[in-house]
Amino acid sequence: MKPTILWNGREVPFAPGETAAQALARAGIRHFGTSATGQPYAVLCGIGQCQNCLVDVAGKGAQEACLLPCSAGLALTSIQGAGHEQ
Amino acid sequence: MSSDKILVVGAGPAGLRAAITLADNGQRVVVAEQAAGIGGAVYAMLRGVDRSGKGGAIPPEAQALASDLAARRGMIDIRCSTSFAGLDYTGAALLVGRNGAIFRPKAVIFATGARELVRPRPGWIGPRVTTAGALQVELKTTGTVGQSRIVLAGSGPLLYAIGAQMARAGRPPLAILDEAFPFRHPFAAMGLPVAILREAAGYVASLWLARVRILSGVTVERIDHAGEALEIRTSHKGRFQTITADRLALHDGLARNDYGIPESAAVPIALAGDCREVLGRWAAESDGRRAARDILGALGSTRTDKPSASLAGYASAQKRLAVMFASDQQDHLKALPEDTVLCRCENRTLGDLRCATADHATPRSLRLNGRYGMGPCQGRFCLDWVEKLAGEPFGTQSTRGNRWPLRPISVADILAADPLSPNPPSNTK
Repeated sequence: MKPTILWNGREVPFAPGETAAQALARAGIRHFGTSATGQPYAVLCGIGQCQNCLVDVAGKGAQEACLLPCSAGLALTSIQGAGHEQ
Repeated sequence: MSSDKILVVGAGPAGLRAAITLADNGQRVVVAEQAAGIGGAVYAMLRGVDRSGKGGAIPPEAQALASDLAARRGMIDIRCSTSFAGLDYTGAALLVGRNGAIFRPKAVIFATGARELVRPRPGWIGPRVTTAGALQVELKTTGTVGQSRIVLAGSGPLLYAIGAQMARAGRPPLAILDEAFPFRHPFAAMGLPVAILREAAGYVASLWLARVRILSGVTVERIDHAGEALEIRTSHKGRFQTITADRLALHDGLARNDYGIPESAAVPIALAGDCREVLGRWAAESDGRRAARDILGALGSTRTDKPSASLAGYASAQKRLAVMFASDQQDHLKALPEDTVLCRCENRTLGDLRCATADHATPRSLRLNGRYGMGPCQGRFCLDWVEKLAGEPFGTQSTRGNRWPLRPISVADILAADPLSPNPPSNTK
């Protein structure tokens, strides 16, 4: 059985060495959440420059999914910002 | 906290070659790399999970780098999943992430690679629109790309390189939409170095064999998100066409990446590779060697290496490529609708910028009132365009501000950064 990470409580399988963004994309999850200014969080640059693919890592806060290596049981949740300005 | 080590930021070809050169001259080196493994973007296959070789066989240059590095493990402490956060006025460097540390390096070499430029377009924000570079890293590390109908658009040689690599992996793109007319400049092309021409010929052959549609002079006017698909509205001399795709990869060139790189009186600093000047992978290692030598000179260390080759040939090759792939960014920007989002982080549109610059704007007012450059990406994705649109001679440095941290970090990251121990845990793959 493939190891899994948790996305909002749901198990998502990953291949060793994959980033969280890659594992989520393979499971069809490309829209990770919403920023405080209402913009969608999703992969843009893929190399840790744009801060556009943030996900919440249990105990660690917001991190870029494109840099985050998967490990068994890694628990991620989507960030839901205000959705409106002010 | 003072240390006898030199810090290299970035484990792409420039950073690794710099670290190897330093090690060969008796220096101990710490390399901080924010990705999970070495290679940077161009040699991302070095940290790949794909062993089929479909994502591109590991080039001999990358193999050589990896084995040169392995032979110097005792001298080079590679810290992956670890980011450089800043350098304070005392010369103390903060690394955060898996192997965070705080220490005072003898010198710092930045080799953080290029920045990929992506010009805003209506609808460019959404889960299925990425940079072409993101697509390339995905292909190089996993050996494949997740979606089937992929369109590459913008301008620059990278579009063709990625398209060809996709074709070789059995996942050719639906089309390459090039704003420029690269095939109209045979004279500029003929003056390119043989290595680049050979690489380019291979790409064109792969694209041709896979029957990839290559359209010159085509602009993406608008992207509509229709459920799981994208409707990409394109124009060619005023004629419009809509292409349905699963993913759009945009690329409008590469730029140097010196965002937030500090100047310090306390520590000698050098820049190496594409972050200093975009010269490509062929030049990156030479420039890494050059930067290492500059640092050794600044430290008064004796140097045993032979002098590095000139980078002038690479610079003139980049000029030729710029002629071939010229696209008038200013024209395209001015044609954007007012509600196009320029700054993704702070959700600021072209209309917002027009308001902010209607009376009198300064770089400071654009930051504090306009919010451009103030979001988590620190302006890496909007300031190029804001400066072009603002219509005033704003210096990039003044719009950016220049402070650390270089990226958002948490207080926990700072607390977790240990003073560098003499024998830190080595962590690599």
